[in-house]
Amino acid sequence: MGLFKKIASAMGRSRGNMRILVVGLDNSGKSTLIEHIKPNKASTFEATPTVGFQVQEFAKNNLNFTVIDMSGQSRYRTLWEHYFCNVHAVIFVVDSTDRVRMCVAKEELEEVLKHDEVQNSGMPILVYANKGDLPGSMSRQECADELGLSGLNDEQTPWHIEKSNALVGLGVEEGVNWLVQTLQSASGRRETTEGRRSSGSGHK
Amino acid sequence: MSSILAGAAQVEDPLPEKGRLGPWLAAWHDPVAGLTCNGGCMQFMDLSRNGDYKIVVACRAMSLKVYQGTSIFAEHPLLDEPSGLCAFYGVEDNTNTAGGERPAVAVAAGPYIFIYKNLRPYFKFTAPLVEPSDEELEIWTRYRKGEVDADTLKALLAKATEDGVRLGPLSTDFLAPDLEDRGSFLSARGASEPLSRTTIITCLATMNRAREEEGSPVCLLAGTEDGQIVFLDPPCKVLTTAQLPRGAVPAFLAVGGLFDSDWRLAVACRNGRIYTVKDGDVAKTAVVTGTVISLEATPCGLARLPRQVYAATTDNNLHAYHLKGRRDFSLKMPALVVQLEAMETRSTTCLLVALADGNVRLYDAEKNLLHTLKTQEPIAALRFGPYAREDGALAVVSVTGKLTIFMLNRKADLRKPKTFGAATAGYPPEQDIPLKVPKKTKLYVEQTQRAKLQAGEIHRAFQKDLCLLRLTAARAYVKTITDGRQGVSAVGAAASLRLHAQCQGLGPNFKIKLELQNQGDRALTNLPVAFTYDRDIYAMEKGQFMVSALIPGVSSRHEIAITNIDEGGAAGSVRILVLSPSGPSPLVSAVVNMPLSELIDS
Repeated sequence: MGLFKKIASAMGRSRGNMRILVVGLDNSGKSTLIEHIKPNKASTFEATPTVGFQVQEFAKNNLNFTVIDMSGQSRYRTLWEHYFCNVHAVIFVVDSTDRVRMCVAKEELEEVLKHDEVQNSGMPILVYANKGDLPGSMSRQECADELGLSGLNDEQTPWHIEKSNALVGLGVEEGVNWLVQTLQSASGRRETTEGRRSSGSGHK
Repeated sequence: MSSILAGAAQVEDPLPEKGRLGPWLAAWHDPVAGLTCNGGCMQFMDLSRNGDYKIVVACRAMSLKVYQGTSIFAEHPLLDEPSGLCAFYGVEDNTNTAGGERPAVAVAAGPYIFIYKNLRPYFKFTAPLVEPSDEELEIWTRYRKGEVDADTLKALLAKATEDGVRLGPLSTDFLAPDLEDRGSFLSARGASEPLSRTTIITCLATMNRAREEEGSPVCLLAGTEDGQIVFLDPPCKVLTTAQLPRGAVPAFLAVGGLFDSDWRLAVACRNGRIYTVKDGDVAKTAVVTGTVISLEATPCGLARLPRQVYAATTDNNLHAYHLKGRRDFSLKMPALVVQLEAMETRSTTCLLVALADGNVRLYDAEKNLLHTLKTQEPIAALRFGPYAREDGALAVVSVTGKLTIFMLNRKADLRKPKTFGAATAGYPPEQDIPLKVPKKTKLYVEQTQRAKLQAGEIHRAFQKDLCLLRLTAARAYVKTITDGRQGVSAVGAAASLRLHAQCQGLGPNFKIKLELQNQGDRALTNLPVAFTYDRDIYAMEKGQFMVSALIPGVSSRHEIAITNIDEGGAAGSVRILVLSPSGPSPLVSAVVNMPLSELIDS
């Protein structure tokens, strides 16, 4: 079973499959941001609060993306923890103008980082400080400090924060590029390390 | 501007503790908010109806402030000092076809309720005039008919005041001591001015009309200084009123139920009673029920949970009452309670108690203390509700006007008191662990059988052995006591003492001469010497003294005066004990047999 899964995952990665989980508080702009990651954008997009979750699948830059857009409303936040398995990366979107709820965002991010699938798998975390165009928005550094990102071990959990404006797609592309690079270099590293290791010890 | 100010000040005055505080997350602290309000003047409200809740505060500095996020959203001057604030949905709006009622804010000030729609003044409601009391009316009628003159009128009105009748403005103005010309006052106002008077609104509350959901139409409740509860259909239609007994001035209202079906209202009054008002038999009427809770002190807070009514009193007590008036329990608080607030979350309902020492206690419905939140300053007002798209937020205003907002952690478990290390309730968990009872062996069974059959013999044998044991113990005790009598103590060569005592004199004054010699090879220090004698016969100035040091070989001499006080001159004996400084047994003892005393001819 372990061997089968390993082969499958290696083959999946080689074909360029990316499964990304997008989380963040409600009204932070997750669905709008995903709309800008998609290559062929809908002509009119009207953001409505997501109920439960939505899955978007598309191909971009020779990669097959599967993006799971979780609802950020507090009653649906309990769902997040069930979608971390088989995910390659996590995108955490935060509303950089919402100073009063920064503590809640920090708490939820800590919950994500504490999750078994995230903690020890070296899964990269990309944080979008969204709504950067609005007056009174916090800078990248401020957001990183408020969320306590600077205390993260970069080796254990690679992270990156990108200021974005999901309405026009500013900064979205840069973040995704970082994510793709990180994942590719990580998979390269993993292949070399796994080659050295005896079989059956790498994956669960 | 305010957010910049707050941000700048945050550097100097940081939050007491950042991050997690039990079930709370410290969200924001504005030390220069400058809010002056009590709990009745602050509320959370989705004013824009976009899910982003705001805080509406009516300050004593006569301004209406609205906070959104970390900044002031709007600020409006008020016309008078506010006594209460209620934000509600339910003012009809013809322009809004999308359904849903427009949010409105009602601010009570003096005899008026100002209703703001879209944060603009919309309507002013005046509390109904109060009819004069029968006594006052009768006095003035008699005067106006010419039956009594001005002096008698004054005397009658003064007597009525003493009897506790509340007088209207005409009578109080007439009785004013600084009124110079009563004649012209009466000719100007006395003949025609109506006796009815305005009243003051003391508290505000809302009750939903037909549906429980937030955002559905409500009915506005106002308590007045004259003990009336006015039920209003906003903005101005009076639905019904309820009159409390004389002397009851409502101070706090706690609402439960729906106005159109059935409801129950607890009214805490300044006379230390809680009255219950409920729906009458006829639709849309209110009756004051016979359920009256008498508190031991003046109420200073009232809150309603689904099954109980909580009242805090000025003697630092928190009482929980069943809805029908039976007291469930009382808790003593460490400081004065500033406010009680029911905290309804999706899973449970708790009670928040704001104390004057700056602590916010969180109780569950079973009076377990779940958490104590420490804020730095005495609290002036506190509210729990949705804020900024988060379901549970706690806004705390300190007496110096600082505003602090805490968010309820989504993962906080408010059902288990142990989660936060607070006081535990119920029996200890060890009680559930069964004891390890060993199996009965064959020997045990045989022994039990034997004990049953030969119970008498075993008992006698035991008693005999017990007696012998006691005898041995008594013998050993006597031996220990008498060992010191030989003149040389039995504690061994190291501490061997020689005591020589003799009595001199004819009486009634004697002198006992003691000679102590250390025969050991070690110096002894701090030896207490005590005398025991019959106190009916002898008197001594000092029954004991200390020998500070005894060097080996050197004898130390002491003289002690003793007086015979017996009238017949009887003789007795005096026992001298040299005690060990460490142990209870004497090192050495001696008995001096005193001679017969000479009698004194007085």
